[in-house]
Amino acid sequence: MKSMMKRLGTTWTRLGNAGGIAAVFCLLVVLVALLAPFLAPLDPDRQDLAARLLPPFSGDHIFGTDSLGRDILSRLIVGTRASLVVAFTAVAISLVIGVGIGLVSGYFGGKLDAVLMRFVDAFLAFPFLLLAITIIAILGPGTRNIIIALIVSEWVVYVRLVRGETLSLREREFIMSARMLGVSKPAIMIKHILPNIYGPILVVSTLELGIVIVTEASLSFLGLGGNASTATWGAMLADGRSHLSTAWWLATIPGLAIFLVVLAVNMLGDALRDYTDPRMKGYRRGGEMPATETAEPAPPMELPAVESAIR
Amino acid sequence: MVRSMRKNSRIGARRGATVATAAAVVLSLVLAGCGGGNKAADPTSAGGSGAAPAGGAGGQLVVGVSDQILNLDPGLAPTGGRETIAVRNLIFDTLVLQGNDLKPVARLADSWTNPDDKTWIFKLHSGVTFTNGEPFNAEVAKYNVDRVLDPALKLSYFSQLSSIVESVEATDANTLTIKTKGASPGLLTILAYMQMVPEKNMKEVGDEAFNKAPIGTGSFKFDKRVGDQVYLTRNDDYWAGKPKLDGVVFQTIPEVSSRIAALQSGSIQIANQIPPDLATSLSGNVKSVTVPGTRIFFLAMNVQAAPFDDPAVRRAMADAIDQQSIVKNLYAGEGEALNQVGYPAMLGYQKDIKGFTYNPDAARKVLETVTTPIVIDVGQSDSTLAQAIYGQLEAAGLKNATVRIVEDSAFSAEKEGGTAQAYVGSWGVAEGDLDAVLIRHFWSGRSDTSKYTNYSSPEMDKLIKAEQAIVDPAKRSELFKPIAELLIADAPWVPIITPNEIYGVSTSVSGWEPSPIGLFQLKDTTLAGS
Amino acid sequence: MVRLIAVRLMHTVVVTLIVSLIVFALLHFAPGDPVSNVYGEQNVDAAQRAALRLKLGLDDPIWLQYFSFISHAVRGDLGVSIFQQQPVTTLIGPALMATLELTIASLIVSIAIGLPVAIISALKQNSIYDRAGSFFALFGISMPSFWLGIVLILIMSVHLGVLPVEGRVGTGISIDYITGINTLDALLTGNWEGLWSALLHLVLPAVTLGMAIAATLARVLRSSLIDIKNQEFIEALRARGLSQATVVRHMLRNAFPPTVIMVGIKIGSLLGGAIVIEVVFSWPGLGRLIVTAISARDYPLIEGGVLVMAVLFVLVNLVTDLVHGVLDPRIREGKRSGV
Repeated sequence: MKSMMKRLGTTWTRLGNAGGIAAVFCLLVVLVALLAPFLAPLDPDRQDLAARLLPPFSGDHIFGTDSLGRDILSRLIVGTRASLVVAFTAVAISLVIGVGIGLVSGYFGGKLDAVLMRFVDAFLAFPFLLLAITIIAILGPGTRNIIIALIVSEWVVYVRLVRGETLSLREREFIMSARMLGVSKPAIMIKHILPNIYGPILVVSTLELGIVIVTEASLSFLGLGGNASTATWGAMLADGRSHLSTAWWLATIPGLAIFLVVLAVNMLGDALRDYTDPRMKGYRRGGEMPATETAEPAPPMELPAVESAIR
Repeated sequence: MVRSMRKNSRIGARRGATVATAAAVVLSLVLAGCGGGNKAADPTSAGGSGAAPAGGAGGQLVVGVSDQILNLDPGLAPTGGRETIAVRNLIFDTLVLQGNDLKPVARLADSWTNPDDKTWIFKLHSGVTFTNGEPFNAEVAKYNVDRVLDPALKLSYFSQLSSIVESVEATDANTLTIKTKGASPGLLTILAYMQMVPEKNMKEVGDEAFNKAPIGTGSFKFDKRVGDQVYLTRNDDYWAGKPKLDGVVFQTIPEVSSRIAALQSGSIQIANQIPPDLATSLSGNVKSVTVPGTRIFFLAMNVQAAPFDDPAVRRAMADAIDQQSIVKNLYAGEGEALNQVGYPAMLGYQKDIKGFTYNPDAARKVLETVTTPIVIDVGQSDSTLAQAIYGQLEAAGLKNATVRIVEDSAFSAEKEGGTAQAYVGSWGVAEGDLDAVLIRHFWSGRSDTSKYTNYSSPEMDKLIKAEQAIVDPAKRSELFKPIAELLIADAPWVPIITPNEIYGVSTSVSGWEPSPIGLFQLKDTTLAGS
Repeated sequence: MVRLIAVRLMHTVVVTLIVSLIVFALLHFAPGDPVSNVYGEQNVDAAQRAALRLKLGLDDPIWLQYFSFISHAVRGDLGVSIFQQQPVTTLIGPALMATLELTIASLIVSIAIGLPVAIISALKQNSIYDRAGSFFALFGISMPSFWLGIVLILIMSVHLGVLPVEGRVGTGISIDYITGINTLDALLTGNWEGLWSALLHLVLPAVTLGMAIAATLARVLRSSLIDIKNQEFIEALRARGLSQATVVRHMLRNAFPPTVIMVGIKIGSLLGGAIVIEVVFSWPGLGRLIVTAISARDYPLIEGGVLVMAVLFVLVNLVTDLVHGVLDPRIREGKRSGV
């Protein structure tokens, strides 16, 4: 217990105050998402057409009511879960796909790499929102399909990143020697290369997480939200936008929620970047890594922000 | 009628030409902009007050519309939404005009008579010319009807008109005789949308070029398109009197907040499609004006899909919906709560039937026994209404229901294919005639392959046939009564509301009245001087 | 270098083909029918609908449709828009220029904001300025652009009344069409009135869009600058007593290559990502044109539009890679499979 506290303490120091606060905030948000049904003060789907557009602090409605008289606070709390599920799932799955393809492409190189890269380029060249719109039009609305649309456009980000890192790593001595020792290719990729690119992947993932949350809002704006019965922050924001001049809280409150979460996630990402980049602070990496790898300095960070925040 | 070809976009356009006009306008704008005080740094944003040269009449009116302006050749498909029709309605004239009470009034045709149910004789206004100098007469009117009837051209209104019209004759220079195949009460409505093009010019330049530079007899002349804007200038020789404005610009602004902002900042003087919630926010130098609309919003249920294959369930759904509350709260009272398929101004509306009534207790008894999951589909634009309906259904004991927002085109494919279990949609009845709804949704003899609710009833078919065989409105109204009642008993639709059309308009605009069908009559409109 | 360009152009062709295939496949699997959208609620019988389908070639097998599209496309003919009855190229041209104008303006805005923020943040790492800079950058990334756009409209146009809301120029102002970039055209023709109006109309959309890029730019540049700041040669420069400005110049020169790459990729996503902004500000750009086309299922217009965007994206990236190569001599050798 004590050592755990100590470890937490060290982590905090390394993350810095901002990173620490961000981490705690993110944890809180996850907790809210998990406990949403218990936390929501009122039924988030209960409508009261006679009590529409109430301003914050009207009776039971701390954040007021929306255009159907539903309690905004409750919808915000319940929406946390939906929004996070979409964002986390989309990022996690595209991460897996992207890392897999990126490793293979970068490690084997040659023709395979060339072919894969052309596909990646094609997906990058395909304007993201258009891809999402068409995919949702084909698959139909719904949370699952929004996640699919996000994955289809997200995976390339990781391929690019991982491939680049792998390319530079595969010529390193410790990989060469592993190869000479007869370690199998999958083993080299997973056991030796992957651990060395955790840092950048983690950083990019946090950034992408933020981007995905904002993207979901943009999709709702363009009328490609999901199931109208489930509250998500994006849908709340998009629904409330035309009321900005008359009932500002409708769009501003979920907007703030998105802003704060994305802000926290990004700050955490920044802190993690500093944390994992050895040149930044001169910290030696912890004992988690095998000796062969710690001997090698981590590769320089590839650019994190390959994808746009403005989707 | 056609609502729209969705959102909008830039229409490729060339700048140039009419440099003189442009220069004059620019000059007046600059002058006005300087006098306009601190309003806006951009002279063009100084708006209504700025657009008018000092001294009163004239000026350029800018209308912000929600949808894109498509073809300006009235024959070409797509015909476009109301916005497009409105622009064309200024460039072109029609034989008859649909008045604000939805009844036909004289336009290019001074009068018309029916010697018998199948013959229509139109007396045309004499001395009318197109803006290129071509005269308008019965021959030209005949050409216009023939052009639509030409099976080779397959123009937009081809199948509609050809199913009705037997022959067209120019009896003399100012008399047009149309013989119909049967009694055709709908002929005048179609003619109200048939905009007259100049025969010689059309034959000379062809469709494509005409579409880019249309010429009509209307109160305004086409000037140019720039991006999302269509410029019209006054037709000084307009046969019904010279319009007061110098010109009109239609500018597409899809996003409603932006449209309102443009109105408030003065860069446009009229904005269409204002949601009721925001109408109240218009104050100061802008105000909202309303007119009863012609679009019916409804909940449609697939009569072949469980649980809606049981009429009792459909009626229970109707019992569960409180139209009055939706109109009062969701629409801020801006609309007509419907108790039958139809709105009061429409031919076929039955004042003295009870119709659908809100009866949650009766609904609960049936809805609580429904276990089949229900998906109510809706397009993006009506999702709030659909959720409100869903809320009421749920409150009346319906379980397992969800509202799904479907992308526009996928939604229409689903509706037309009759595959949606239930959907919230709308249908424009600018014709003001119940028949227009019946033949598209509830008549099994329709030839457009759309399925919607899959409703089909021999009795209904018989009633529709009877109603179509007569021209006299009073008699038809009688015949619509059993139809209205059958629709209530069978309940494939739960009609909800016909919302008012709400426009935002600058106080500098006078002499303009909103139209229930989205037309803009701007002949007598003026902009107040600065 | 020449060989590099040749290879890259080859890649462009391949990528374009893949994109066109994806669009085609997606479109034809998507539910919805242009013909039914053309007629909308109009009462049109099955025969007339079928005639239009035939005319548009919608009943041909999909491979034939694709083949005919590609064979026309290579000759520069992208077909005719189903809804607007005009050649797709005629529609795309001005829209593309509108989007480019917005993109360039946003880039300028983003550099004007992002560059100083990055430099100050990097030089005063971990100071209050750095924190403020980071916060600002994150603010830009975290703010959904349509929210920001509408808020800016409410403040600048409605309340203060200083900036116009919609479109590219004021009504009644006419700018001769030369390049399609209004500000440039107005400048070329000496149309000061038009220039002023076009600039004013650019401000809000460019700032809204630029904010998000400024944020990303600031982040990337800051981290590159910090990396470089700690390198030995910079220490050496400082030790030699060079002025701060000179040191910063050296740092910037070294930090630019990765930033240029980033900006290149950004332009691509800008071209597509501006859609939301184009809707909010009624900007008649390519993104909005394509979105409208998608919802109406205007096949030729969608295919043409996406293709043009893809080609542009690939070309922009090619150019940035070349610029990168020029800026960073290390790239010219080595890293051969990288490009």
